[in-house]
Amino acid sequence: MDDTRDFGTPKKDSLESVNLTIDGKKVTVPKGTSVMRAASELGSSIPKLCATDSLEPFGSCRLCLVEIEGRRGYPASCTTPAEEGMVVSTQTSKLADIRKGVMELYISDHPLDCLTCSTNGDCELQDMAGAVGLREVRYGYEGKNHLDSKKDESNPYFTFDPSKCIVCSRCVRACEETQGTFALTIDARGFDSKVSAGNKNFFDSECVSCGACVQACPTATLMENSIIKSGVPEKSVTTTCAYCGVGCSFNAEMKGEELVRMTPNKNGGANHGHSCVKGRFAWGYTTHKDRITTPMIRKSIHDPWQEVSWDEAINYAAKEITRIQKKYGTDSVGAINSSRCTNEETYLVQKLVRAGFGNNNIDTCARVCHSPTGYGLKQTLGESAGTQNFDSVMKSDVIMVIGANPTDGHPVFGSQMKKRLRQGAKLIVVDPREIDLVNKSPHIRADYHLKLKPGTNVAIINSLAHVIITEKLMDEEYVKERCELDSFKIWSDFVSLEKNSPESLELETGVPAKLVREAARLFATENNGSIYYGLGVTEHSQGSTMVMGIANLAMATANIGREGVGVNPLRGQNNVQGSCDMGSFPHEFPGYRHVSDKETRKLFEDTWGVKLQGEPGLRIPNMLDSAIDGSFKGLYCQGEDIAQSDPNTQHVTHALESMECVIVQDLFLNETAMYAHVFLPGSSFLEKSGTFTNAERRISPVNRVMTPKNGYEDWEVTQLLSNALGYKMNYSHAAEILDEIALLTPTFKNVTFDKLNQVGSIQWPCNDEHPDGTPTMHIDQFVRGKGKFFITEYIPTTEKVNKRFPLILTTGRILSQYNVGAQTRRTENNKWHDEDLIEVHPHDAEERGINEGDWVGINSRAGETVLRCKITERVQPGVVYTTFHHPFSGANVITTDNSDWATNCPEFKVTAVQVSKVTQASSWQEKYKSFSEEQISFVDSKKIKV
Amino acid sequence: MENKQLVIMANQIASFFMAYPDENEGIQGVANHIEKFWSPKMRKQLMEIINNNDSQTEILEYVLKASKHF
Repeated sequence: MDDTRDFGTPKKDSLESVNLTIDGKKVTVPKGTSVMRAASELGSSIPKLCATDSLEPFGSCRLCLVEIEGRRGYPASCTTPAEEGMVVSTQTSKLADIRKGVMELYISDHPLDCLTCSTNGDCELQDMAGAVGLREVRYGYEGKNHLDSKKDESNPYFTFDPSKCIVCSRCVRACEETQGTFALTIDARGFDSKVSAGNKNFFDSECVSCGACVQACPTATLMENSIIKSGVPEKSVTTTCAYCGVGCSFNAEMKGEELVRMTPNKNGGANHGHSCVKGRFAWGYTTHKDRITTPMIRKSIHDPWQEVSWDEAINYAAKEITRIQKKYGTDSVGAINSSRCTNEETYLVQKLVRAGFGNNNIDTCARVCHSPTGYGLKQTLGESAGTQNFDSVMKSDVIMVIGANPTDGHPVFGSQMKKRLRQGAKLIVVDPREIDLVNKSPHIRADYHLKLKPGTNVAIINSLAHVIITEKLMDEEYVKERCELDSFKIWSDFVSLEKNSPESLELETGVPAKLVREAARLFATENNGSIYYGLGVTEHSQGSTMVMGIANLAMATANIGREGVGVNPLRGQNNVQGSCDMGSFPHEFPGYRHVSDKETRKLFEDTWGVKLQGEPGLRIPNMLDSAIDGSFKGLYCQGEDIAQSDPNTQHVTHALESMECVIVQDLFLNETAMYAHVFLPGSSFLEKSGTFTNAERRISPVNRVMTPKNGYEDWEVTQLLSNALGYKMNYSHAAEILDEIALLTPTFKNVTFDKLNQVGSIQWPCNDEHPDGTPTMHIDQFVRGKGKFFITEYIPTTEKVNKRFPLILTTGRILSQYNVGAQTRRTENNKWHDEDLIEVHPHDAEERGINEGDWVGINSRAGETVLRCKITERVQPGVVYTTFHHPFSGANVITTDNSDWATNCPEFKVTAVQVSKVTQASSWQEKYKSFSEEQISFVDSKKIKV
Repeated sequence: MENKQLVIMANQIASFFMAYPDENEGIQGVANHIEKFWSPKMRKQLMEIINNNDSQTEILEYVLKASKHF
């Protein structure tokens, strides 16, 4: 059962316990627990201001004093650990006098504007004044005070009003302990003490707007602007964030149908009460004026849109699919579902394709991000998922981060990792670029940064393995007991070859052999070694090979099967794991079972009441290629924006133009919708029920907090389409779809919507064997039985640099924006990043006469675009870097069709380019501008009936 | 789908499995992979390219041998 009480100090996990008496009642608590928390667990609340249970105790406010038998004075209960036999009094007349005196001093320098204050009714200072019975303040405002201190309103999401500050340091400590940014401090001393963002305003400071300080503030000093504007909420519903793969639990705080605040849920299994700027504040897109809430159709993409009823739109779409299949064959249509949608929605789209369309042409956006993870981990370990929970990192002794940037891409988990690193865990970063973890996060410095050339991941993992095997640093006992010995022998012989030594590969990878050797030794010899990786691993022509290489390394060093270790893919979008679990790939049913498996197919056929195909369908790139060759003519695209997110934009748009019916279901007229014939309005995560599964296999409930602005939850739209096509679906709530998933998917067997809401979240597998879920996988044995080692031959990419394209472009993301930016660009987050920039090393810039802020043309074999230049040593010479959050940037105009050998995941991370100073936008950008303006005008004129 | 693209994909798969010391295991690996992940139409097209010797890109030996197992 969740408990939202504030216990004052953090929970302690000691196995030893102590017994004490508080106000005449006996209580037993784990050793190390504070007296304040022990009292709180008994139900007696000691007044407090500087203490909160998300932060270590500080002992500054002097309000929580207690009396302890046999001790002199009045110790602060927050900083005093409970001890065996201790007898504590929390309420005595002396304590009451002291507390009243302390409160009187606080209030003497605090504006008495409670009735008009934004936190009226939700203020700890106000509560404490009441708790101690403060009735008068003897000191007037004549003396020195802070009442005229100027507000800092620079941050778009919250206001800092120092006149209300009691200098309890909760914000400063939250910034340090919870977020790990150390942007805030207490400036000056004594009466002049004040909270400062490094003598800058909040917006210009190091602050990352995670909201931890706002969450921790006991007064109205740090306050959400939405609350200042709308007042305190009247109700709260727990739901799950729709941004990254961390999957934070939030309380959506409402006034009627209006969302006024999102606060991180302290009981959230993934986030433990923390948040980032996206989940905490960037939800304004859900009510943005750009949202389209009425269905639209058109015959040609060169026609204006017509607004139509849902019936008309659905029937038109169904007739078009039927017509196309009749004319071009059953396999001429397909669908793409989205990791931004719920499990239930992705399940239903794949069901519609397999049972309604009658083929297996279903794919998902994981194709372009983590499909190699699914393949590689299934082959080696037996399950297409990460092995741990996020909390596991707190037991890691050495952490290897490969091709991931957790502080930007997965900020809440990034903060947890930083906490562990500040506690002393060692860090190895394998990345072509200097990510913040390398040397820009306070009190953290990577022990090793293997700054490899993009495209040489497999060479690096082989050379690390070479050192571990040839120097006999592997765990032979573990391998003997847990792994297939034949495969180990073949693999270890392979990595032992001289060609895989760090010295042999040094020229190829650009990483000094000495560093590789030392990093390998560190990883192999520390007790618990964990590996965290992201798209810098998967989005390569050898993405799957690299995932297998990572698993090989973890198995050889006995780093799978307990807390603190493991192979941990950091999934990009909120429901990448879930959409993959739900059978969104063309070759497998939910639960990663191949469509050719007769027994599985029969199970689905019996349940769905229809014959199913036993051959794999088309992947996204295959669909696009087939569209261009004329055999694929109709696409249902739910919540995805392939025209911006997928590589080689001109190839994608050519394919879309070649289709006869493109149906897009989305919140906005996204880039793909500009090539669509049917637009079905989507619903935001606030308007639907269902579940998301995050990067740690945690299934969390999504609860509807407001009526869908378009009239339907997304799964209902799929159901309408299916029914119009003649394949009947009759669900009345997403929970019923989840029941069907549980019925058909062994790893979800004991999962229900009610149970999730009851316990908060569950990590699959959740079945009879693991009724409470599985935080750590492969404990006694691997899912496939014995772990299997695979040979990982390094094969350089065919995307070579040459005289014409001498630089390598690699791509990534930034904290404030999310993926293609469709959501975050429609929020105040744009203030931090309103355009994508190209990062160029000073040497490369100088050679080309490029200065900071210049417009730079970027040419590749696929296309050309123009971006503004940022000169930085974060990238190495020969490498340039950009993000892809803005469509006009055309980052994917230059990425190529190269892809992973096993999964066709695009090689986003390696594109040979040339950069040069230019004065105007690229021809693609000019064409894009006029095309998109025309398309937007088609929406503006949609009310014109044809 | 363009023949060239299909051959590139098949060759990429073969390149992974060519590292295996047992050639039969490698060839079977190529065949299994293509069978498991490629649509029937793509497999058919590859077979046609092989049978008609219709590739402008060299088809790796492992692909040719694996095609006998499709």
